[in-house]
Amino acid sequence: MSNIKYILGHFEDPDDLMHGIDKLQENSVSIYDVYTPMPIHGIEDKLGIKRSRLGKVAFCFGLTGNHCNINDNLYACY
Amino acid sequence: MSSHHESILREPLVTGENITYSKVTEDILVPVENKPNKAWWIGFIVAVLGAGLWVFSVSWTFWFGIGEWGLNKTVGWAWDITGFVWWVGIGHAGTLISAVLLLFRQNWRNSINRSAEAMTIFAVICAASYIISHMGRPWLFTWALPLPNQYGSLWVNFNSPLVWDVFAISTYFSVSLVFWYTGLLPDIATIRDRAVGTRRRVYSILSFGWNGSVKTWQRFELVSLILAGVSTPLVLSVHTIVSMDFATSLVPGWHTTIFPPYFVAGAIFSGFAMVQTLLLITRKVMNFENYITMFHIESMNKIIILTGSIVGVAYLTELFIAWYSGVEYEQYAFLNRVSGPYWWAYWIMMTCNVISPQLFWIKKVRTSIALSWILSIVVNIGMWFERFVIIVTSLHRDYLPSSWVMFYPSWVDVGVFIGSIGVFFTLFLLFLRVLPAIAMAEVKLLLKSSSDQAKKKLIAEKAVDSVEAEYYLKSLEKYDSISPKVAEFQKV
Repeated sequence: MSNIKYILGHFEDPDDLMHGIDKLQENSVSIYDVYTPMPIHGIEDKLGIKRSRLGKVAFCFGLTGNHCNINDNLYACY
Repeated sequence: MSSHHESILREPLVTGENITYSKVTEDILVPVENKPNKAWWIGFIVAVLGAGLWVFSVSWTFWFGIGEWGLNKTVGWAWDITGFVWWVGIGHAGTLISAVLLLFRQNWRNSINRSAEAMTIFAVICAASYIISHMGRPWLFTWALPLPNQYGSLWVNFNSPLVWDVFAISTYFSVSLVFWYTGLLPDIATIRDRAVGTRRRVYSILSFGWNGSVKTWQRFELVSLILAGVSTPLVLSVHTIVSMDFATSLVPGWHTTIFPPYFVAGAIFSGFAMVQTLLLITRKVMNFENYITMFHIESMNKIIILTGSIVGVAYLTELFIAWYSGVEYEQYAFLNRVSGPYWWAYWIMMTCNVISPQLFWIKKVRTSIALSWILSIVVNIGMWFERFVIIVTSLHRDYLPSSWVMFYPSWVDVGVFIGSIGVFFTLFLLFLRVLPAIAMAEVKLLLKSSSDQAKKKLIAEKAVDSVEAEYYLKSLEKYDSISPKVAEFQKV
């Protein structure tokens, strides 16, 4: 049997939740995840979740698509 | 932090007392989780009858051909393209609300974006159906796509705005659909968590396993932002390209350079009118008065007056430039519009789009629900006539006076048009029944900062300047969801 213990915290208010996260982290309790019914800004920083690379990827896809489109178009026209 | 600071001077976006996060869910899911009421059934039956008329008229067109429409040798475009442009235009408000207002951080979009985007999608479906019908041989629609083929080096004509339109509309539809559906994921998951049995299974699949963890929300917000970035140019480009269907031709009254901005303004104008038409009824029937408030209604009316005035300036500019150009064909086209056999259509357009929306300068008018609704219908009618005037008056008297004719719609034209309205309302009413009409998660986001109760709490705690508090309380007087007596009492 593993001796890792899990605690489940339930918060009514997002401000209490943020406060709770701070308190837990002060006491070196690692947080597995936080589930919320709406996006709460700032949790990802507290939990150390890195910024997604999706934006850059989308930009590269956009460039590729645009490039292919212009190429195709020129090919079809001449 | 969870909630950003908001000035007390800003009017509330959520009203009502004791609104909790769970109450938001309860209130918004009432139509989804319960059997529909009588009003819904009556609306739905009428809409389905309309959709039936559409199926019949479109089938008739496919079977017998476009000759069944009222088109003739001179007037080759009429109700079909009028209907197409009208529907595409209507769609634009949804995209503006969901994309542009997101980039500008306009929080009032949060409670109207869902239904407005649904409206966009259904309007584009109606618009696309016109294009397919108009092809005459719709089974050859693939010829509009640049597909490799065995007809030698035969490609679509990339110089034609009609081809650009194929790309514009299909991009518009797919991006709008993805944007709408992404926004729906957390809300579908909420329905899933509350449902049992088959319903739970269905919503479970539809929710793509959404669980609301930190990472999902982080991704959600980023994807929304990317899609908003992709959609924003579409707000401008789609109707620009629609306008080029006309502007790149050599038809007097069509080949004007102001068409793109003028069409885009007109599209947003008609779109917001349709959002008002739908939401003023929806909020009443579905009891959403606390979420779609007078602030939302008034803001949309302000956009209507702005875009309506831009359209008005465009109409006058057209007349001026026609005269100033010295081109007699151009001059005649406009003289014919204003005073020719279609003068009545021109003046209906002028009255409905330019003159009557100016009434919204009066605060009493733009905060009156009945008047807002009536004027929204007037704008819908006016914008249909705008397209009719542009298309038919320019075509019916061409360069050869011996071919001058009038356009008379056949019953098939009327059936396709009335029917497309039926299709639109059938889809919209079904949407109201199976999906939350207000983005629950996004409204919850506003609860701590922009709701009336949060602001009242600050006032009660004396945390805000008393002059500003009084200003705030005074601004509540126009709200129909806050009874005047309560407001009066709180002021005292």
